[in-house]
Amino acid sequence: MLWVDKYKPTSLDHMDYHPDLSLHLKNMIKSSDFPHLLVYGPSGAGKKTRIMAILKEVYGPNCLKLKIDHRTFKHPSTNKNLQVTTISSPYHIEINAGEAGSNDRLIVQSIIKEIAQSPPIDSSVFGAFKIVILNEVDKLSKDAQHALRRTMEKYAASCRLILCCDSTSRVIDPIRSRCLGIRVPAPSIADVQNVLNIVATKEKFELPKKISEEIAVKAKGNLRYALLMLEAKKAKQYPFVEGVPLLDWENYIQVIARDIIMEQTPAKLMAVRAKLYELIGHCIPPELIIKTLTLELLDSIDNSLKCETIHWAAFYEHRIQIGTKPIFHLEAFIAKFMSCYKKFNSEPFVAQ
Amino acid sequence: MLGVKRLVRDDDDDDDGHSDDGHDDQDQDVQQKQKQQEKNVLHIEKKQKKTDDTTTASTTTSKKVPNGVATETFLKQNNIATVTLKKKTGENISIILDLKDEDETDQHHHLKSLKIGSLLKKPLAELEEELLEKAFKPVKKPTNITRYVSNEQARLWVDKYAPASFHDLISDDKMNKDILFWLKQWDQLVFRRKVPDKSKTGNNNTYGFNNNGNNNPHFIQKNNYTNNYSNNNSSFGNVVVQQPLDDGSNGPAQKVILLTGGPGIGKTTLAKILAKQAGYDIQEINASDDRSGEEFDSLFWGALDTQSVFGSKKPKCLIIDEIDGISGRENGPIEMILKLISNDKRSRKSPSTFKGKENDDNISDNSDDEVEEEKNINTKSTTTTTKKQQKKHYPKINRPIICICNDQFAKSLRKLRQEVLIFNFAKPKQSKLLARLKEICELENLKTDDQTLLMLIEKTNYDIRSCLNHLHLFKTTSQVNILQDKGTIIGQKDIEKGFLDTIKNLFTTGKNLKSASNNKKIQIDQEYFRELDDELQSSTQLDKIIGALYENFPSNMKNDFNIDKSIECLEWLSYSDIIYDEKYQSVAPLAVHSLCNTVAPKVAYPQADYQCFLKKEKTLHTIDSFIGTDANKFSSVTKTNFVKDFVSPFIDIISIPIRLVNPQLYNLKEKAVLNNLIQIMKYFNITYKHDTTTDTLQLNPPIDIITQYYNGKDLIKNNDRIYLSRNQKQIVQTAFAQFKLTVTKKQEEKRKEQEKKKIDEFKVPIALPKIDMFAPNEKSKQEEKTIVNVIRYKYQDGFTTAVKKVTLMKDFI
Repeated sequence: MLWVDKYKPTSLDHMDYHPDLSLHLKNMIKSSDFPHLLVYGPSGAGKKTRIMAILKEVYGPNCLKLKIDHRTFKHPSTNKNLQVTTISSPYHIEINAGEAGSNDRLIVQSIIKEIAQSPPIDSSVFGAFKIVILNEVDKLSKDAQHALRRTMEKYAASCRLILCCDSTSRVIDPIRSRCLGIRVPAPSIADVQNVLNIVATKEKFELPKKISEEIAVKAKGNLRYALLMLEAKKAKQYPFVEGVPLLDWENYIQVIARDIIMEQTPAKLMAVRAKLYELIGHCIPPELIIKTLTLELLDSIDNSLKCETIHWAAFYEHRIQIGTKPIFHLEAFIAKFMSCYKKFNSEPFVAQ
Repeated sequence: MLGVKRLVRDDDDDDDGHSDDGHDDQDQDVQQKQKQQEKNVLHIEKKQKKTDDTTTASTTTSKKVPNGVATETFLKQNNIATVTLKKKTGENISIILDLKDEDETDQHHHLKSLKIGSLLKKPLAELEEELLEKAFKPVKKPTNITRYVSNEQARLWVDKYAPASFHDLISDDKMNKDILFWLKQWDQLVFRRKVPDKSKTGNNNTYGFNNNGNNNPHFIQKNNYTNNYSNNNSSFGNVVVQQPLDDGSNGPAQKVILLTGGPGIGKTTLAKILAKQAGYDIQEINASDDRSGEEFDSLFWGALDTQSVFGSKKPKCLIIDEIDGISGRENGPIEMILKLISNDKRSRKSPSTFKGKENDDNISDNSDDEVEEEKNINTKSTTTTTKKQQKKHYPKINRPIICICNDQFAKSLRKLRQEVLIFNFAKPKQSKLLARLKEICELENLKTDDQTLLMLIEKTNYDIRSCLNHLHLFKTTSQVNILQDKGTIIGQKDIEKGFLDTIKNLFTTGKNLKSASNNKKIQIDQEYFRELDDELQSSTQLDKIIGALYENFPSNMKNDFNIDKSIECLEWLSYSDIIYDEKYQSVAPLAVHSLCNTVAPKVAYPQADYQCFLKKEKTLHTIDSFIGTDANKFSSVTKTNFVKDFVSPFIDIISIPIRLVNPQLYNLKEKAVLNNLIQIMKYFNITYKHDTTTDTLQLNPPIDIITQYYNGKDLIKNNDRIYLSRNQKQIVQTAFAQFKLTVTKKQEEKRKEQEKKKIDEFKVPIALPKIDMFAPNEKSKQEEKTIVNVIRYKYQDGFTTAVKKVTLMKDFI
C-alpha cells in the first residue's frame, strides 16, 4: 500500500490540518441534517478525504466498504448504451461526471432518480437519505448542470448531493446557490511538512528538514503529490539526496519551451505542434499545458515581454475553455509568443 | 441515287436480336465515309442525268441505284428503307423511304419534294443546285428521327430522348459489349443457344445488333471502369467477362453484376436496353419502392422462376434498381441475394442431378408452363415454411440479375460487392454529351450555343438526366427559343464535393492570367473567392475542412520568414473554433485561403488529430484498466489527477534500483525493499509481462507508457528517472512470481482449513473424549485427518426435536 493511502485519515478527528473546517463539518453533521454540499479546492488538498470522513461520520464505518460497478444506461432515443463507472456503498453512490461524456445529463439524472427511489430502510441510523457524490462537477456540460438543479430540489428529501470540483468558476450560479459551499484550501507548506514528518516517523526513517521543505515547495499544496514524491524519493535513495524530480509532462513542456526560445520559424512551429499532440494524447489537460508552458517561458524572457506573454496566455486559455479544439489555441499562443519574442530580439538594443 | 450508304431493314424477329447484319468497325466506317463523300457528288450528278428522262416516282429511281446490294435489301424491306447519308462533319442524315404508303408522314415530307414532277423547266445547273440544297438542308431536321419514336408534347424529354436500342447507347463501347457479352453467356442456360465465343468476336458482328445505321452514340461513358473479380479467376487477365464453364450450361461464372456510378448517367437505361437486346423481358425491381422483404420476395422469385402465361414468352431478366437503398438487415433482400449466390456457387462445384434437371426445365419448351407454375408454387410455399427448408431449396440462379446502385461503397452493399461483377460508370465525356445535347436542342427548335450547354453540363455534373430536365424546363417556361448564358436559370446542383477537393481548392491560387490587367485580375480573384465561398457554404463537413486546413497550411505556406502569416492563419482558425454561428463558419477557411495559396498545393489527408484522439483513448483505457478495478484504492484519484500527479511518482516508486545479484544474497535491508516493492505491486495488481514482439519485460497494465513522451521517435528521458534494466525487471518478476506462489499456497491452506472447519461443523466428528483430551486444541492436520478417516459418522441433517447430547464411543461398544 502506498503511503498516500496508508496514512489517509478516515475520520474528521484525525485531520492534520484545517482544524476549523473539521470542527465546522462535525457540528454540521451533529445537527442530523445538512444541505447539498459543494466541496471545492485545489487538487490534492484533501477534498475527497474530507468527503469520505463525512460519510463515515454519518453512516459509520460500513460506508467505507466500497464496490466498483460498470453500469450501462440505455439512451432513450438512440438506443445507445452508455457506460459509466460508479463507486458505491450501501449508503452512497459516486460517479465521475467528467467521464460521462456528452450524455452526462442523462446519466446524472437517472442515477439520482434511481438512488432517490430507494431510500435506506434503516432511517434510524441517520436521516432518511442517501448521498450522491459527483466528482469533477465542473466538467459537467451546461446542459447537465441545468438539469441537475431541478433534480436537486425534486429529490432533496431522499438524497443529498455532494459535489466536488477544483474550481467553482465552471459551476453555474443556480447550483452554487443551492449548495453549501465548503472550501478546502491547499495546505500551507508548513502543513505539508508536518504531514510528511508524521509519515516519516511512522515509517521510521529520518526526514531532514531541508528535504521536506523542498518537497513541500515543489508540491505547491498538493499533499497527494507530496506524499508520492516522498515515497518515490525514499525508494530511490536513502538517506535522501537533495533535488526533486520533475514530472514527466513537466519535463516535456520544458523541452517545448526550450524549443520555442531557441528558434522562431514556421518549421519549429510544426515541430512544436507534434509535441503538443503528444501531450494531449497523454491526456494532459490543455489548460495545464498552457499554464505550465507560460510559466516556463516566463523564466527565460525579459521582463518587458512578460506582461504581453501573460496577456496572450490568458487570452488563449479563455479560448480553450470556450472552444472545442485546444490544439488550435495552443499553437496560436505559441506562434504569437514566437513573433513577440522574435520582434523583441531583433529590435536594436537601447542602452538605458 | 442519293449516295446511299446502307439500307437497313427492320428486323422482324426482334426476339433474339440475332440478326447477322453487319456492324462495321469504326475504322471501316471512317474509310467508308470518305469514299461515300466522294461518291456523293458523283451520284448526284449521275442521278441528275437520269431524272432527265424519268418522271416516275422514287420507287423506280431507287431501283436504278447503281449499288446492286443496296437495291436487294431495299426490296426486302416491306417497302420501307432508310437512306443514310454521311456528311463530312460526320453527322448522319437518314431518310426513311416509305415505298408502300402514299400517305407519308411529315417527317418524310422532304422526300416528296425530291420527286421530280416535270421535265426541265429550269436549267440543268439550277436544278442541280436546287436538288443539292433540298437533299441536304431539310435532311438536317429529322436527324435521328428513327430513334425518337414518339412526338408527344407532354412527355418528358428524358423519356422522349431515351435511347431505344443498343446502338443508341452511348456508353463506352467496350463496357457495353462486356455487359452484353455477360448477358449472352446466359444463352446456353436460358435459350439453349450457343454462347458466342469471345475470342472469335474480333469483329463485333457476333453481337448481332439491330444496326439501323445510326452511329451516333446515345449514351456516353468514359471507358475507365473497373472490373472487380471476387473469385480467384483473376488470371483471366484481359478478358473482361469470364468465360462460361466448359459445357456452358451454367451461364457466366458471376451470376450477378452490379452497375455503379453517379446519378443520371444512364445505368438503368443501359441495363434495360441490353436486356432487351439480348432477348429478355425486363423485370424491374426498384428497391426504393419495394423495400419490405415480402414484397421484394415475391417479385424476386417471380422474376427468377416464372414466366408469364400471357404476354411475351421471353424469359425475364431481373434488374434491381437502387439496390443501395435496401437496408442490409438480416433476412433482407441483399442477404437473400447473397445466399442465392453462395448456394449457386456450391451447386456449381458439385452439380447434382436435381440441379441439372431444373436447368432442363427452364428451357423454354412448350411443356414448360406447367412446370414453371409448379415451381412457382413450390417456391412460394418454401418461403412461407421454415428457413431450413428454404435454404435447402434455394434454386440456382437461372436468370441474369443486374443490380444498379449509385454508391457501390454503401454500407449495405459491403458483402454483396465481393460476390458480384462490378461495372463502374464514369462521367460521360464532355464532347459527346455536348453533341447529344446540341442534337436534341436542334430537334426541339431550341437555339443555343456551345458555351451555354457546356455550362449546363458542368453545373449538373455531367448528369444527362438533369441536363435534359433543365432544357425541357427552359423550353416550356420561356417563349423565346434562345438559350444563352442563362446561368441564373440553371440552378446549381448541390454537389457535395469531397472535402479534400475543397481543401485543395482553398490552397490553390485563383486561375490568374499573367497577361490580364490588374482590374481583371481582381475580378478573377473575386470570382474564385465567391466560388470557394459557395463551395464552403454547401459543404456539410466544415468542421473537418477546418481541421484539415490546420494540418495542411504549413506545408503550403510560402515566404513566411517572420511567421506573421502563420500567426494570422492560426488566429483565424482559433477564432473559428469559438464562433458557433454557422453563417460565419466559412470565414476562417477563406481567410486562410487569402493568406496561404500556391499554384500546386500539397494536400494530405488529416490524420494527426485522429491519431491524437486514438492515443488519448488508449491512455484512458490504460488508466481505466489500472484504477477501474478496485474502489477502495482509487476512489480519490480521478483520471486527470492520475496523469497529472500520480503516475510519475508511482513509476518512480516501483522502479527501485535493485542490486543485480541473486535475491538470495540480498542483505536484510535490500530484502525488505524488494518485499515492499512486491507488496505494492501486488496491491495495485500490476506485474511485469513478457512482450513477445519486442522481447522485453513490460508493465501490465502498461501504465509506464503514460509517462513516456516522444520527440518524433526518440524517447525523451527524464533525467531523474531510474529506468530498470531487463535483468532488474527479471528479478522483480521472479520475486513477484515466488511471492504470489507463496501467497496462493497460504491462501490455499487457509481455504482448506476453513473448509475443514466447515466440514467439522456439519459432520460432527465423534471422537473419544480421551483422545480429545490428549490432543491439543489446534491439532495438526494429519492427526485430524486420520481420526476422521478411521471413524466417520454422518450427522442426520434435518429438523429433529431430539435432544442432542455427546455420545461416547465406548457407549456403543
